Amino acid sequence: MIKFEDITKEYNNLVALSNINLEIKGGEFLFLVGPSGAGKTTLLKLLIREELPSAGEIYYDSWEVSKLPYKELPQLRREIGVVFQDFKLLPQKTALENVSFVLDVIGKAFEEQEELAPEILKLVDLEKQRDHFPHQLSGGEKQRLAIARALAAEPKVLIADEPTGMIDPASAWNVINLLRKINDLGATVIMSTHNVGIVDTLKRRVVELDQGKIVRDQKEGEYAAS
Amino acid sequence: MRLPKVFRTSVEYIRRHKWLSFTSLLVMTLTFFLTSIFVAAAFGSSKILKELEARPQITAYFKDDASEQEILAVKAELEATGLTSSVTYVSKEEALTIFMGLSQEDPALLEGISSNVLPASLEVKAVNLSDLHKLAEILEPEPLLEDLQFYKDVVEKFRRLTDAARLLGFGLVGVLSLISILIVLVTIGMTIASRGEEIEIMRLVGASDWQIRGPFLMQGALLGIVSALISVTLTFLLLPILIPYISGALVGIHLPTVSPVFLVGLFVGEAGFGALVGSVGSWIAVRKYLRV
Repeated sequence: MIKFEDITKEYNNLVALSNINLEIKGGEFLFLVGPSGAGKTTLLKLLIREELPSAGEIYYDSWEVSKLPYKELPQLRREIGVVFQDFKLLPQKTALENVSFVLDVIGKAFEEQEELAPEILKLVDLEKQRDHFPHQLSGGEKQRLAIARALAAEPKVLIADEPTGMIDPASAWNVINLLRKINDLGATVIMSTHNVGIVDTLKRRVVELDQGKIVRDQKEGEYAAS
Repeated sequence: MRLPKVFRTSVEYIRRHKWLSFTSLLVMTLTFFLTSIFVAAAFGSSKILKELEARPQITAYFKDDASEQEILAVKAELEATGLTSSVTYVSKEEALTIFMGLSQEDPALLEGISSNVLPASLEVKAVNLSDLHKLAEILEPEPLLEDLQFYKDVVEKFRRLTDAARLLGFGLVGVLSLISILIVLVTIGMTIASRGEEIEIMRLVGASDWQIRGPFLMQGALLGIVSALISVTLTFLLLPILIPYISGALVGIHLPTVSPVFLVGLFVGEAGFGALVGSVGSWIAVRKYLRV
């Protein structure tokens, strides 16, 4: 379903990723681990073409992502939901509008948006904050809103970049359970994390990056190499 | 994106950027208002000019002892030249009727007036204005002639005046339109620049260009249409107050009233222009952020 072939990404001669080869099958739950600056976020950015690779090819289904025409990008991005590390919430829209915007983007009718958006907010326990703007939300609330928004589009692939970075352990488990539920429903989940407990408990595929290279790819792996 | 949603979102955009929207609205409204006034003035003055041009170009007044037969003989002589488009005989009685019609609101002028006071006249129109002098040469030696009046000069003067005023007006409207276009573009640009990040995020979550652009375009268009509506309403309220002052200065000229057709035309023109400027401005401003 997703395939990185010989992917290299350089920023002004600084190598962020080099010769990445990685295949992810539909329905997988994959943890991306490794120290800060290892290239996890860059890898995820390449998949939705927020960035272009310096060399190599990325396939999503039959699409070659780096060669996708500008007009077809929205289609790709509707299939791949992202919980961004920096949230990327729409600052001028309320929590509810952030969610209904995505519903609108994927073509849900207005009545459906009105009905679904509050339900999705409830899922991440934000129904009381529905009329708050992002700047009025705490770090954890923003993170939960970012997750709610990514879920709203019912994506085939869900990318979560450090989705538990700013929330307390109990909430973190709520988030993970949500991601597992989505995975159970058939979506592919790719999650980058520093949370040792979660990775070790879930025992899913673990891909470890270090200095732009894949140093470990393990089925039912743990956070640290054993 | 369906229309009601686009509309709703764009109204939301305007509401959340009250001051910037207000500035755009004010600048556009002022420009449209001045344009309306100038267009109305140009419209009115061309009507007046037409009316003046339709008047006799020469009026020959005859002495009191000239008989109708003698005057009609002069009329025949003029018509024989083939240069006239019309020669109308106005008898003393007819002159009185006309005068009474013009002075209806001033009864003091009508007291003691009889048809004897007013001269009989011939109203002459030439096919070509350049032939007026030839016709005047025929009339001038006539012993029965009291006075000869050239309206040509009056018309010419008025035409030159309105031409100058029109040129000045259109120049002014042109400059103002340009200024308002620039201000509106800058304002829209500022609004959208403050949301560049937001537009990029919209792209990243899969919005198509049109889904992003729609509300911004609609917002620009809405501001244009609303300012056109305000300015035409102002014009509609103000013109009936202004017109009596102007007609007071121009005795005997029938001033056109402000017709609804004129106002609707004005509104359609201005709203179209405003919507165009607003939406094109938004288009350009958004385009910058749609690269992601």
